[in-house]
Amino acid sequence: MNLEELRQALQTQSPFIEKKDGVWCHVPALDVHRMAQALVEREARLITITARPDGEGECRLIYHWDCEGEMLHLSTLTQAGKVDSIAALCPAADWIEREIHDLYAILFNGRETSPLVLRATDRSGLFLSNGNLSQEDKR
Amino acid sequence: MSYTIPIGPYHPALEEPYKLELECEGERVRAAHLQIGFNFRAIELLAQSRNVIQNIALFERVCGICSNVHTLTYCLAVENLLGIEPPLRAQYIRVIVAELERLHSHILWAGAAAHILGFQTLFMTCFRLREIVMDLLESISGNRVNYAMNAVGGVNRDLTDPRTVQEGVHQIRRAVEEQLIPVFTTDPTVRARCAGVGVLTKEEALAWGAVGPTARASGVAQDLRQAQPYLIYDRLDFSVPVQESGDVLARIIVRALEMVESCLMIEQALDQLPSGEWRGQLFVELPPGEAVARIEAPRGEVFYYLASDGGEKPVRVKVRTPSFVNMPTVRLMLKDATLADAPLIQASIDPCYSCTDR
Repeated sequence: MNLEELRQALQTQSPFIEKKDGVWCHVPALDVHRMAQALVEREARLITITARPDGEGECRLIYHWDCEGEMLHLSTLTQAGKVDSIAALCPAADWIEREIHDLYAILFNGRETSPLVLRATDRSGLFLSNGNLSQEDKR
Repeated sequence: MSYTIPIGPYHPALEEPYKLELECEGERVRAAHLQIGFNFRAIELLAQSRNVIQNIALFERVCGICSNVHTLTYCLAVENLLGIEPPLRAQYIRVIVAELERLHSHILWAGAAAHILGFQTLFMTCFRLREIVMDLLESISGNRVNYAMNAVGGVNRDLTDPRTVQEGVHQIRRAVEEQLIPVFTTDPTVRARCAGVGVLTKEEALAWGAVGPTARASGVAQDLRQAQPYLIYDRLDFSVPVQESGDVLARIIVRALEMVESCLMIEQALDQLPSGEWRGQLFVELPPGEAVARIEAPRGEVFYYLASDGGEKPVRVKVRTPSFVNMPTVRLMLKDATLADAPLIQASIDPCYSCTDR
């Protein structure tokens, strides 16, 4: 994987940090469409997306990719609880985005995110976003 | 005439809950809709309320079949964050148990597939073989399902009787080579039910991120044990079976050949097993940071993300199981299939709903 070429494709100056478990890069306002397009063109496989609350009401989303056996972890922040969907470009993201929507109430622009995982309730964001729990839920 | 058949949440083939809605025209399935989540236990949330060591027991319970791979991947993620490596003997023991677990998983699945095909003698042959594997795992770990072998930085038990394991694995290899593979690959009933059925093309497998035997049966030649070797896999000589046809038969053949490779790997690992320390750590303090680990589980790649703020409990653990990415491909396999093939097709990816839902 040519990291410099990828940096240009992503149009970012954020540093790529090489670790034992892959290459990590955080881009606060990452264009996830551009990212998905660049990586799908390079025949990378989306492993998954990790959502992690940043403590200030937003979530950090880490897109984990497999690029010819090497792992690449590109992260960004949601903006007002929203981020663009990449499912149209990368079908592998379909269920992954739905699950994140269900667990963290993040909205993925440009797609339907009907509840998939949380069968016990119609409300999204019930289980991993404690702030959404009512007293009844907590019991 | 168009109609919709709801199946589930009781599974049409396996004893796990999920729901399938098939839109049919006559005997043809035109579209399939899957619903999961009936087994959701919020394990990722529970992990945030337990310390690093307690979480090993929690992740052992993500899956009842590949319980070992979850603790192994979790421990590897913790070790990556700590920057440590387990002793060499512990790495060999981890590989031996992981490959025995793969044998157990593949043989169990072969038995279930034979049962769905209506081939009861083959089902019984598989389950008799499975007993040998479970006996071996019990002899190593003291347990037949949740082995509790992995610890951070090592393993919980030494392998004290390699000869018994060697003999048992040799017995399994002979049975797989002389009985399972010939029957699964040449029997006219098996071929009639499986050849050309439930096809997933290579392009579809890549686009949907399929992993493991499901992907390799569609021509995607990736196996993490070879592509990105972990533990001591780079010291073992083995091949990665790949098929191009993408049908149910290809998925059967890939798993059957993988059983032989697993036996060969265990035999080599036992021959090379070094002496020395093997124990893991009883107390772990995580530094602030984040790390990931992934391994090749029986059903494909398992991925763990671990984040710590320096406290005794992780602030986030993400678990991505192979069934979670393989299951959406069932919709593609079922399109235009005959209704009677639907149970076999969706079982052919060896789905695990316990893993998928977590």
